[in-house]
Amino acid sequence: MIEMIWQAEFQQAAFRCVVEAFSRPGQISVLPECKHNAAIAVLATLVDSESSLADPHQQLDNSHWLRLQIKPTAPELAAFILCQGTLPVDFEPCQGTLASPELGATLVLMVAAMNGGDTTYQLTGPGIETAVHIAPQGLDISWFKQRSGWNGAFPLGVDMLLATEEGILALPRTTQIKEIN
Amino acid sequence: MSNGINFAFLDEYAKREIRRSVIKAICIPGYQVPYSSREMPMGRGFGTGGLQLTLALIGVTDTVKVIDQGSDDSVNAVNLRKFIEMTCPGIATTTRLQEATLIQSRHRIPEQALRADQILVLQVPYPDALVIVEPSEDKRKVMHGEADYSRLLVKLYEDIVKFDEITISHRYPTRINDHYIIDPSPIPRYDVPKLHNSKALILFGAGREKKIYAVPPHCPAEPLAFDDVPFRIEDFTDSRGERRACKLCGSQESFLDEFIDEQGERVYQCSDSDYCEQQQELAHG
Ligand SMILES: [Zn+2]
Repeated sequence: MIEMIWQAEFQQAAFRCVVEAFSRPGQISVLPECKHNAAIAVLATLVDSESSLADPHQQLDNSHWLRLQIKPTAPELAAFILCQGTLPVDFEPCQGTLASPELGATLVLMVAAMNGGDTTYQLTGPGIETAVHIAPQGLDISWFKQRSGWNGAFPLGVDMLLATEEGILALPRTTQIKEIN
Repeated sequence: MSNGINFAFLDEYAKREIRRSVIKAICIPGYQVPYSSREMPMGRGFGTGGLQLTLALIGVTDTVKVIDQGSDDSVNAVNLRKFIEMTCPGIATTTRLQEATLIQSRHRIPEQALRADQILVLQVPYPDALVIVEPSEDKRKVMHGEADYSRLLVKLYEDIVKFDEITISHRYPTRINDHYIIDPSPIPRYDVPKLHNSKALILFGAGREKKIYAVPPHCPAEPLAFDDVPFRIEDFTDSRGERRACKLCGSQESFLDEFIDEQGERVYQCSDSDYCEQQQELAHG
C-alpha cells in the first residue's frame, strides 16, 4: 500500500493547507494527518519530475527520491530547497529575474516549533490584516538575515515555508519581518 | 476510478504544475505566472483557465458555485458546473454564495462580501494590461518587473483628454500591492474595489494565454486614477437623482443590468441572480 503522502487525495488536501499558509503569512496551517514531517508532505504535494529539489542538509532518504522521481539538484539551481533550520545558511538560492520572478526558489525550513523561541518577529504585508507575531524555535539567526538580502529588490526573492512535525507557516517574499525584542 | 477518468479530470502532473504556479502567484501578487495550460474537452474561451484552477484546487469536501455574468443558470455556467460534477464525484454544488467554498466566475465578483474560507476563481480572456501599449511579451515582462507603467498611464490620460473621463467599462487596470498592474478580467468597475483588502484569496486563470495570477487576501488593489480624474464606479442614478432599484427585489445597492421589456420600457435588474433571489426571500419572509 502506497503511503498516504504520495496519494492524490492527501496531496489535494495538503495543497489547500499550503495555499492557506501562503495566503495568510504567519498563520499556522495544520496538514492532514500522515506519518511524515510536514516538510516532506509538502514536497510530496508540490515536487515531481517536472520540478527540481535540493537537499543540502541530507534530510531525505532514497525512498523519498524514488517516489519524487528526481535526482537532487544543487541548491543554487533548485526550485525547492529543503533546509534544516538549526544549521546556518550555506548556499545562495535562485532569486528569479525581473522578467521571471517566479524562478525565485521556495525554501522549506524544518524547525522545532513556530513559537516559544527567544526572538519574536513581527510580520506585516499582503495576507496579514494588521500584524502577526512568531517566535520560531530551531531556526538559525542567519536565515532571516540572509532573507532580507535575497528579498531586497522585489519582485526578485525567495519564498519560505517553516515546517514542524504537523504544521506549516509561510513567509512569502512580500512579508516584512521585524525583530521586536 | 471505475470510469477511468482521474478525479478532477487533470492528471496529477498537471495539477502539481498548476499548484506550483498558484503558490508563486500568491507570493508575487499581480504577477502573471506562466504555466502549460492543458487541452480541455471544451474550447478555449469557455473558461478553461478558470476551470483548470478549480480542478487543481478541488477536493471531496468542497462545495462549488459557478457563475457567468452573475447568473448560475446561463449556458456557460451550467456546462462548467456539469463538467465539474461529472469529473469530481463526491463534491457538492450550490447557487447560494454562503454555502460555497470554491467560486468560479466570469465577469462578476459576487454582490455579497466573500469570507476568508472561500476562494474566488475568475476566468480571464486577456491577462496583460500592457498589451495595448506593447506588442512584445518579452518587453512587457520586463516592464512589469520594473513596474514601468508610464506608457500605459499616458495612453489612459489621452483617453481622458478625448472623452473627459476614463472610458474603460471593464477590465479596469488595477495596481496590486504597489507594483504589478493587472487586468482584473472583464468585471465592471463596480467590482474593482472588492479586490482591495479582500478577505478571500482571488485567483485569475487565463487558459488561452497560459497565465495564472492572484490577489492575496488583505492586499492593496488600487484602480489607476489621476489627481484630476478620480476612479468612479458605474452610476445608477436616474434623472431625478435617485438610485435605480432592481425591478425584482427592489435593491438599491446592487450592480444592475439594463434591458428593454416587452412594453419597450427600460428596466433594471440585479446582475447577481443569487443575491436577487436572497433579497426576494428576505422580503417575503
Ligand atoms: Zn434584485
